[in-house]
Amino acid sequence: MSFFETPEPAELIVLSLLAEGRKYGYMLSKEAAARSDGALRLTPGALYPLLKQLERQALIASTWEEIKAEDADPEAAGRKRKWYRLTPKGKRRLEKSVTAHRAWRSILDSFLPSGDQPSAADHGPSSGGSR
Amino acid sequence: MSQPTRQPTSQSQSQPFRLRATDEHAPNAATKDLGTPLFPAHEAHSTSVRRNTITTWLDIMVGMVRAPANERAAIRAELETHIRDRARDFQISGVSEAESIARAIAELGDAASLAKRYQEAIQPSFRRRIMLVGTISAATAALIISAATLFSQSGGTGSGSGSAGGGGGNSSGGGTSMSGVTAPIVAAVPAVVTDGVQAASEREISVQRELEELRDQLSKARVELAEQDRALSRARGEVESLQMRLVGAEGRALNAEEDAAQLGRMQRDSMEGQSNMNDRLKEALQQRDKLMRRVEALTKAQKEQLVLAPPAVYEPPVDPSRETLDKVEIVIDQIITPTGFIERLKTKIPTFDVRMNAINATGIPMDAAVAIPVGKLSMSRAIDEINTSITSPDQRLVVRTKADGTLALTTQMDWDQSDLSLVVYDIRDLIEASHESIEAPKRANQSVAGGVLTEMREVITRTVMPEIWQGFAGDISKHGTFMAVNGTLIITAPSRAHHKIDWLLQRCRADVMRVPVLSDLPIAGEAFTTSREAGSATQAQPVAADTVQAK
Repeated sequence: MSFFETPEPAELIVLSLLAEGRKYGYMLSKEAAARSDGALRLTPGALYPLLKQLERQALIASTWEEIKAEDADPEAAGRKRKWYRLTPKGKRRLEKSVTAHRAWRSILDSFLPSGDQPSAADHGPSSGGSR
Repeated sequence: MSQPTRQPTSQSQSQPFRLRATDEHAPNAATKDLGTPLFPAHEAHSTSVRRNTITTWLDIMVGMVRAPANERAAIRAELETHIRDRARDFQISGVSEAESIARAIAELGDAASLAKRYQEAIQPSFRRRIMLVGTISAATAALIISAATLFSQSGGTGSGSGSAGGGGGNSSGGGTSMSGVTAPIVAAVPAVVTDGVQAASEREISVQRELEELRDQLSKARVELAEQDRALSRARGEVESLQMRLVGAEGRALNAEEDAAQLGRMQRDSMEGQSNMNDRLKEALQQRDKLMRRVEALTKAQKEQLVLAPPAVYEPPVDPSRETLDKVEIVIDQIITPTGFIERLKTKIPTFDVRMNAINATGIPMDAAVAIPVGKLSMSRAIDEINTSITSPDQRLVVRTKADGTLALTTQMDWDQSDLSLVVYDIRDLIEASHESIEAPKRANQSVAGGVLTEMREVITRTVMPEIWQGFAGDISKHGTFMAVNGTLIITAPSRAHHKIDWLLQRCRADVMRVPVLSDLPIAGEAFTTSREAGSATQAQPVAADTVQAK
């Protein structure tokens, strides 16, 4: 595995969320924040260009839907909402990215100290060489 | 950081923004001009501040994106919906409307940065093209510089020998140095080439990734194709199996059709036959009814005929000599003896044959007087007077005409013995009539015939000269014989017995033929006859097979 095969986190998160079903941009942002307890935020400044890029690569596809407020005039036109869904190509990309991510995480884990062992810095130079 | 400034168009400021779409990714791609204002009119009027803020920000941001108008319209619509959704959530949490909009826009960040990201997402190949152009330019520059260096070296020394250093810029053998113009360029070449190589490496990596992805897709496509081939093979096998079954089913259907057709023909034939049989049965029943009615009528007529039939009385034959003897008169004037009577008789008729042996055998005292009234009387009367003194009928005197026409005087016994004849009587008609009348089965013909013959024998031997018939033990003193063979009666008896037998048979035939038998009943369409006439062609006649004339 090379470094270039590791997936970008934002792309992996978006493709994973869309694998569950179709969603729109703001919905993706809220779900990402909800699942990470607010630790992860897909800012709209990064999310929407990413969606545009993924759509350009045909990894996702979009459809438009008209929305109206409950008190809006039935005759008046509503706003447009753009829904995204995962394409077969995107699904394959997701599977490949998940595999690569897990492999990369495993490699990283092999270098990281376990949680119950003190770090090398805590023991000083005598405890082992630098990696 | 300098931001590209692009003023909002007058259109977006003067009227609600209208979304235009030209590709499938844009909202309602089938519609060129959706005519859908992103801000409904009532909202635009009531929240002019909000509209201005959002619109202004979107105009600025979208204006900085170098993309087709529909692409920019789609970006604008999506971001506007996001801003409104986000602002609504802020409002739900208690933030004012203006503050909510401000926060939502602030989360989008710098408009220029966002436009740049959009630009990179929309035209990722633009950078690649720049990198490619740079690489080609660097390589071209390196070639030009190398050529220039070689040219300058060969021109300065005139020897044509030596070589340029690969990247050091120093000459290796000539002792000459680069010109002042080319030296800094040559020094800059490695850095440019390094950048170009790095860009090329990045592109190669990118291409390799795409190539690998395409290979994966190709591999999966091949796997899917193989699965489809197997599925197709299975489907073909199933189709062939179904075709075989279809052929078999068609064959069975043809056989079934043939069987059905044959059964239909048989059924039609059977129905026709049944119809014919019904017709014939109907005709037979009608004929049976007619016959029953006819039988009833005939039975009634028979009863009437039986009642009306007159009694039949047998009349024995009269010998022709009687008439002759009646005409011959004799005068009795004194006592006369049998001998005297015979002499007078011979006197009257000289040809008279008097059989004295037979007469003497009777024991009549020939010389004793015979009590005959005195006077004139016929010869036949005189013989009758003499017979009154003879008790045995066989011993009485008779006069019979012989075959030659002469007369003979003898006893009855003597004449009968000399007058025996054998006659065969065919009575098969009587047997058949008796059989049909009792409707006995044909196989019982023999017993029926035997019964009829036995009855006939009883009738004849008891009513026709009972004294002449020999018994079964062979009584040779009797001269009459009686045999029955194959429906015939073979009888040996005197002529007067045959006369009476013939009369009896005639009477039996007359009685039997008067009753119609089933075989006499006509078939449909035939004329009906009441009965056979007595003495028809089928009636047996006495046949004198061998007549014994003992004259």
